[in-house]
This record gives sequence, C-alpha cells and structure tokens, in this order.
Amino acid sequence: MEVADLTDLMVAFFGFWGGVARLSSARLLGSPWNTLLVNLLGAFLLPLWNNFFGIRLTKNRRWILVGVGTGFFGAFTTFSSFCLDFMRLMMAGRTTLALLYLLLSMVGGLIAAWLGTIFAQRLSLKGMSY
Amino acid sequence: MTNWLVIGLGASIGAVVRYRLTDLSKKFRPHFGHRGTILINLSGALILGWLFAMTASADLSARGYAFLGTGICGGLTTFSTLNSEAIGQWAGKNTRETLIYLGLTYGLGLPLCALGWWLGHTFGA
Repeated sequence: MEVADLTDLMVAFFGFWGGVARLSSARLLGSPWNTLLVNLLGAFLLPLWNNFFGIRLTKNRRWILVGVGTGFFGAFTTFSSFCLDFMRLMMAGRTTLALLYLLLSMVGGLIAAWLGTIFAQRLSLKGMSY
Repeated sequence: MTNWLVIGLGASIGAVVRYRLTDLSKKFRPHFGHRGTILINLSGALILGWLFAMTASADLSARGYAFLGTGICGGLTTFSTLNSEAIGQWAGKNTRETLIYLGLTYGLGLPLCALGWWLGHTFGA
C-alpha cells in the first residue's frame, strides 16, 4: 500500500477548508447554534453533492468526489462538538436549552439529509428529461 | 500560527484519518456496514470530552485545544455522513438497522463525551 495517493491529499486539502469554514461559523452565531448551523447545512449538502452535483461536476473522478464529500463536508460537520455542546449546557444547568439543542440536531439532521437526498433525486430526474 | 491555520491543519489530519479508517473497515469488514462511522464518532466524542476537561485545569493551552479538539476531533467526527447513512438505511427499508445505528451513536456518544470529561478531570494530563 502506498503512503498517500491523490484521494488522501484531496481529503486533507478539502478537510482543511471544511475545518476553517466550521470555525468561521462561530463569527456568525454563538455556541451552540454555530455547531447546529454547520451540522444541519452539511447534512443537507452532503447527499446533494454525493448524489447529484458531485457526480455531474466531477464526471466520477473519485479523488474530487471523495475529496469534497468526505474531506470538506465531513470536516465541516462535527459529532464530537455536538456532544460537548450538549454536555456543557447540561453542566451549566440549562437543561431546557440542552434538550432543545439535542432534539433540533437529531431530528433536524435526519430531515436535512432526507431533503438533500430527495432534492438530488429531483434534480437527476429533471436532468434526464432534457 | 494563526488560529484558523491551526484548526485547518488539525481538521485535515482528522479528515484523512477518518477516510482511511472508513476505507479499511469497508475493505476488510464489509459486513460491518456503517459501524466504522459509529466507532469514529464515539472515539472522537470521548477524546473531545477529555481534552475539554484538560483546558479547565490548564493542562492544555487554548492553542493546543484548537489543534487537537476543534481541529482533529472536529475533522475526525462527522455529522453529515452520520445522517446520510441513517437516511440511506431507512430508504433501503432497513428500519431496524437505522434505529440501531442512531441508538448506538447518540446513546453512547453523549455518555462517552461525559466519561471523557470525567476521566480528564480525575486523572489530569
């Protein structure tokens, strides 16, 4: 097995910018809403990329398809910070806010991914009819 | 180094580790399904809880936390893939698998993050 191939490099490159984009969301919103924003946005955009835009734009070149999908959107969104946000709110005694954040993340994440998948399907069907 | 550079570098390391681990799990444990993502997310949650506790006792600097916590743990764990995989299983009529997947991720992720925090506080650096 080689040390690193083009896909590794692309995952690293796009992962870098995913992390930077996640950081810049903290300028837009305070904790924990910045994490919620990137997580829901990423959950919506990843299936849209993987099922439509990625396939169209990259013509199945794996290094860029995986680079953006796994690298950018994977690093943009975060599960560990979500857990930490919830724990910090609970420890601060802000139980209602903690539970609201938990619910919005869990249910919102599924709805966002579902919408992204549906949207990608619609776009693919529309493309086929031309 | 400025903060965004530190976090970006950490995130790129985390993303590559996640990519490689997921790839290995798909290659050598195909029947493992999406359990690779579960293990990655759970370990990241545990480590981030630990790192956060270390910042309180000043064992870890703000710069160190930005690199290891926000950067590496943030880049390693993922919320977009978690939901994509869950929706994929659900669309494939694997309701039971979906519930197990979500149950393991959230049911273990939150306590593991708290455990990491407790371990970091109890045992320090």
